[in-house]
Amino acid sequence: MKNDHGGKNLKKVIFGRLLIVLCLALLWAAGIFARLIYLQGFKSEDYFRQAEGQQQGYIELSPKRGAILDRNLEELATNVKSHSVYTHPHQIEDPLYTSQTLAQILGIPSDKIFEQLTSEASFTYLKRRIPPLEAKQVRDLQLPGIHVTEESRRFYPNMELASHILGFVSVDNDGLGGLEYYYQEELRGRKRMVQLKVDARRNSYLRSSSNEKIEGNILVLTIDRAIQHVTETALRKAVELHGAIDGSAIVMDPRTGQILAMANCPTFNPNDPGKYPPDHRRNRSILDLYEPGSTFKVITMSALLEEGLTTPDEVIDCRAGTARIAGKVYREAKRSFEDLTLTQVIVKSSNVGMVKLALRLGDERLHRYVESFGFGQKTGIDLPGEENGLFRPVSQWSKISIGAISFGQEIGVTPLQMVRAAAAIANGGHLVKPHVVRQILSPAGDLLFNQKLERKRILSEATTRQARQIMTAVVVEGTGRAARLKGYSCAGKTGTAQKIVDGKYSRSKYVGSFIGFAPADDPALVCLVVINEPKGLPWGGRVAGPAFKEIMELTLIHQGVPPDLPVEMVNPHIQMAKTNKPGTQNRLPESEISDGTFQSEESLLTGHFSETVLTVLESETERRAESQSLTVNLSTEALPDFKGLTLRQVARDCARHSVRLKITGTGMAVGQRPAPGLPISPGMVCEVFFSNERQRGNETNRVVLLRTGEHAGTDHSQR
Amino acid sequence: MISERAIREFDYPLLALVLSLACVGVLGVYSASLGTGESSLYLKQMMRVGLGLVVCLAVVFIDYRYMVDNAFALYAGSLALLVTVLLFGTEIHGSRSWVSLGGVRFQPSELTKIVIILVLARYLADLNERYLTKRQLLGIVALCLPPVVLIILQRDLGTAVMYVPIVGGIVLVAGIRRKVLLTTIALALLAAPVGWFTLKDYQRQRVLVTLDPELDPQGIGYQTRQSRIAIGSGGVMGRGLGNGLQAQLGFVPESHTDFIFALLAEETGLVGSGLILALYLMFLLRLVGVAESARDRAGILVVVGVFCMIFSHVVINVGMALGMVPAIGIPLPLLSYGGSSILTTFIAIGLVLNIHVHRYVYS
Repeated sequence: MKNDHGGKNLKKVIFGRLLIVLCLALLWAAGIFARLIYLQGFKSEDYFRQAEGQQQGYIELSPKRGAILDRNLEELATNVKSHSVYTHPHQIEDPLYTSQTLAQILGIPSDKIFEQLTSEASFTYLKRRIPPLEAKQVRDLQLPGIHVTEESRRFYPNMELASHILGFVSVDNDGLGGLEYYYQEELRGRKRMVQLKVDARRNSYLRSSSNEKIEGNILVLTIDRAIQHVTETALRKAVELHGAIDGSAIVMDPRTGQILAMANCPTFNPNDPGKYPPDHRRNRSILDLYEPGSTFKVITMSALLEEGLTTPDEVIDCRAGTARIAGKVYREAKRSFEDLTLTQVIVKSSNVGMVKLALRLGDERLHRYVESFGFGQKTGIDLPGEENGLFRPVSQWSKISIGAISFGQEIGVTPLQMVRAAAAIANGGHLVKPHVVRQILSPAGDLLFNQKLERKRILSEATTRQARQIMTAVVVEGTGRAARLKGYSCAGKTGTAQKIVDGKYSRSKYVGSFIGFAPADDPALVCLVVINEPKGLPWGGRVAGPAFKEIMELTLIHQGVPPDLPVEMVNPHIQMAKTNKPGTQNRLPESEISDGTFQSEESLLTGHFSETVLTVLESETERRAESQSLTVNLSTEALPDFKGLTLRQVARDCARHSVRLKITGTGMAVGQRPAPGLPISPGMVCEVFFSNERQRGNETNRVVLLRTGEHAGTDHSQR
Repeated sequence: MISERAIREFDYPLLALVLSLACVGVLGVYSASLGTGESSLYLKQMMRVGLGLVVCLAVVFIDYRYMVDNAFALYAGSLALLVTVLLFGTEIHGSRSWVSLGGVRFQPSELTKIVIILVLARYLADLNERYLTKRQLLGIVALCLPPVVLIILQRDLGTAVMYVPIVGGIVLVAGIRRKVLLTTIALALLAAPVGWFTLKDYQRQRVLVTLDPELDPQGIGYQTRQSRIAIGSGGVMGRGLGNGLQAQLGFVPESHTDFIFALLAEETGLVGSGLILALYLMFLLRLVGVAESARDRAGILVVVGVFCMIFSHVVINVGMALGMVPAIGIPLPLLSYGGSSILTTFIAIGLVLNIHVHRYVYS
C-alpha cells in the first residue's frame, strides 16, 4: 500500500473537501442549536403548560360535610359512607361482558352501561350511592376498568325533623335548601382538587396526599331537637284535626332571637327530597305571606300606648257603625260590642275599637311603628330566600288603609316577622334578629363564629309591660282561652284573617293563628302557630290555641323555666292581678339569664301535670312530703370541670349529674364540650376529650377556645 | 512494540469525549428505566459500553490497513449475514433485521455500515486522481446496492437511509466532479416524486406529519409532538434527572432508545442538551483532526465515513426529537440503549483511534 505519493496538492484538495463536509455539519449543528434554544429558551413555558395539561389530572375529593348539631350537640345532619361505581372506559377490556355482569348487580339496563363503557370519556359514574352489598359484589368481580369508590353522603338521622331548617343536599353534596344552602361555604369544607399524575395510558396516580383538614365546619344551632319535635307534632296534629292545607309554628327566645323550633306542615324527609313535591319543601315560616288579622292589633295597640294616645282602661265606644273612614263602615267579625276599655278591645278583638283608636295615630305614625316592628323587611335570619313581606309605603295607602292595617289587613307578613314583632313586646321593647345558628365550630372543635346578639329598642319598657298585661287578659278571659297554660302565666293574641281570593276577602277561607309568650311578665318564649285554611270554624284561638298550649307547656318545662302559677287556676282574675305586678318573686336578675336557660335554685310547682309533662320531668321531680306538692329540680347544677380526671371518675360524675357522656380519646381528660360551668340541661351530652399526653399543646388550646366561646355566649344575653 | 506506541500515540481526548457521551447515555437510560420500572436497563447499558470499549481497544491493536486490505472478505461475510437475517432473522417492530446468537440479539445492518466504510476505503484507496471517474462511481453504487437492498428487504428503511450520508460523504471527499454531483442531485430530485409514490402510505404520512405535527396529534404525529413538548417543557435548567414527567409518565415514546435525547433535554434543560450537542461537536471536530493527520487516503476515507455515520445519526436522531426530521427509528450513537448501535459505534471509534495511532508513515 504505497500509494501516498499523491502529493501535497491532492491532499490539500481532499482536505478542502473535508472542510466543506465539516461546514455542512456545522451548519446543521447550528440549525439544531437554534431550534433547541427556540424550544427550550423561548417556547418553554408554552410547552410546559402543554405538558402539564396532559400529565395532570384532577379529581375533586369531596370533603366530609360539616355536621349540623342542635343546641345540645345532638346530631341533626351527619354523614354516612356510601359507594359509587365508576369506570375509566379506556381500561375496559370486554365491554359486552362487563355491561351484562354489572347490569345484573346494579339493576341498570345493560345497553345503557355498554354505552357508557364504550364512550370517549375518561371517567364516568355508572351508579352512585349504591348499597354496601352491591358495592362488595362489584368489587369482588374485579372487572378491569370498573372501580368502586367510597363517598361521604349526607344523612339526616331524625328524618323529617327540622327538615325545612336543615334543607337538603344534591348527589354531589351541594346544599340545595335551608342551612345546607345558606351555610354551604362553611359546611362543605374545602373542595380539594387533588392533583394526579396521568401517564400516557391515562392511568392516574395520586401525586400529593397532604393530610390537610378539608372537612366542613360544624354548625351548632339554636334549635332544640326536643322542642322542634314537640312543635312539629303539635302543628301536624292541629293541621290534620282542622283539615287545614298547611301551617307553621315557631318558638323563639324573645331575649336573644334564638329560634328554638321552626316547624312547617306539610314537611319532607331530607334524606330523599326528590320524592316530595317542591311545595312540601317550602319553609313557610319565612317564605309564605299571610294577613296576620287580629294578631296585628297588638302592634297597633303598642304604638298607641307608646305614643300615650290611650291607656289600658280608656273606654271606647265600639257600637256598630261608629267607626267609619271615608264612607267605609267597619264592623266586627262576630257580634257587635258597646263600650269597651282598651284592654277589652284587645281581649274581645274588636275591629271597631281598633280602627277608631288607629285614627288617633294617623297614617304616618302607624306606618312608622309598623315599620319599626320590622314588617316589610327581611328579619335577617340565617336561612335562604326569606320574604320581605308586603307593607306599602304611606304614599300608596288609600284613605281606608289605616283602618285595615290597624287590625291586620292590607299587610302581608311572614310568620317569622310576626314572631319577631311579638318578641319585642315580650322582651321589653327590643327588636331582635332571629337566627338559627348559634356557633360555628371547626372540625377540630375550635370556635370559629359565635352569634352576636343584635337588637334595637323600638318600644319603652313601660309600654311593653302594659301590652303584656293586656295580652295576658286575652288568654285568661278573651279569645285565647284555649291557649291557657298549666303552671305558667301566658299572654297572647288570636288572629282570624280572611284570605284574599280573586282580589276579595273570602268568606270561606281563613288563616287562623295564635301568637303568645310565657311567662307573661317575663317571657322566656314566644310562640306563633299559623293554620292555613282550616275547615269548620276558623277562629285562631280554636284552631291554633291548643297547639300553642301544647308546645309552650312542654317547652317551658324542657327549658327549665320555673312555673309561676299554681296549676289549678281557680280564679283567673286573681291570677291576672298577680301578673299585673311586675318583678314578682320569679323574676330573675338579667345576669342570670343564659341562653334561655334559667339557673334558679329550685322552683315550686303545685298541682298536677299532664302525663306527658310528667314523663318529661320524670328524672328531675321529687315529691315533697310537707307541702304535698311536686318540687321540680330544674338544672340546679353546673357542669363540672373534668380536666385531669380519669375516664372512670368522669363517668361517675356524669352519672351523678344525669349527663350523657361521649368519650373521645383515651387517658386523662383534657377538655370537654360544652365547657365546665354551664348549667346542666336534661338529656345533655357532654363530650370529654381524653389524651395520654397530658396537656398537649393543641388540645389545651382547643379547650381554651371552647371555653371563651361559651363565655361569649353568655355575654351577649347580658348586653 | 506496537502496543507501546499505541499507548504513547493514543488519542486520549477522543476517548475521553466518547466515554463522557457514553456516561451521559447510561444516565439517560437510568432515568428512562425509572419510568418503565425496568431498573436494570442501565446496568445492561453499562455492560454494553464496557463490551464496546473492549472491542474498540481490540480494534485499535489491529492495523487498520490490514482491515482495509481484507475489506472485500468482510464485505462478502456481511452480505452473507444479511441474507441469513433475511431468511432466519427475528422480527422486531416490523423489521426483520435482528439475529439471535445465543440469546444475544443484534442487527447486522448496523455492523454492515462499518464494512461499507472499509470496503469503500479499500476501493478508493488506490486512486490517485483528483476526481472519481464514472466507472468508479458506478463501482461504488454496485458495492453499496446489495447491502442496502438487503436491508430494505428487511423492512428497515431507516437504517438503509443512513447509508446515504455515509457513502455520500466518502464520495464527496474522494472527489466528485461538480457536474456529476449536480446531475446526481438533480436526478435525485427528479426521482423524488417517483420515490414518493413508491413509499408506503404510512411512510408518506410520516413525512407529512413531520412537516405539520398537528395533522394528527394523537396518531403518527404523536411521537414527534410529545418529544417536542418534552424538550420544550425542560426549559433552560431542566426538570431534574428522573423528574421529566413527559418521559417518566410514558408520553415520550422509546425514551431509552430513539428518543433518549428528548428525555435528557427535558430533564437537564437547554444546559444539558447544549452540553450533549457540544460533546458531539467536539467529538466530530476531533475526528476531522484525525482525518487530517491520517497517513493515507484509505485512512482519511475511513475517518470521513465514520464522521458521516456518527454525524448523520446525531443530526437525524436529534432532528427527529426536535421534530425537524421524520421519525425514522435511528438511535443516537453512544447514548441510546441498544447493543448493536453501541458496538458499531465503538468499532467505528476503534478504527478512528487506530488510524490516529498509525498516522505516521514510519512503522
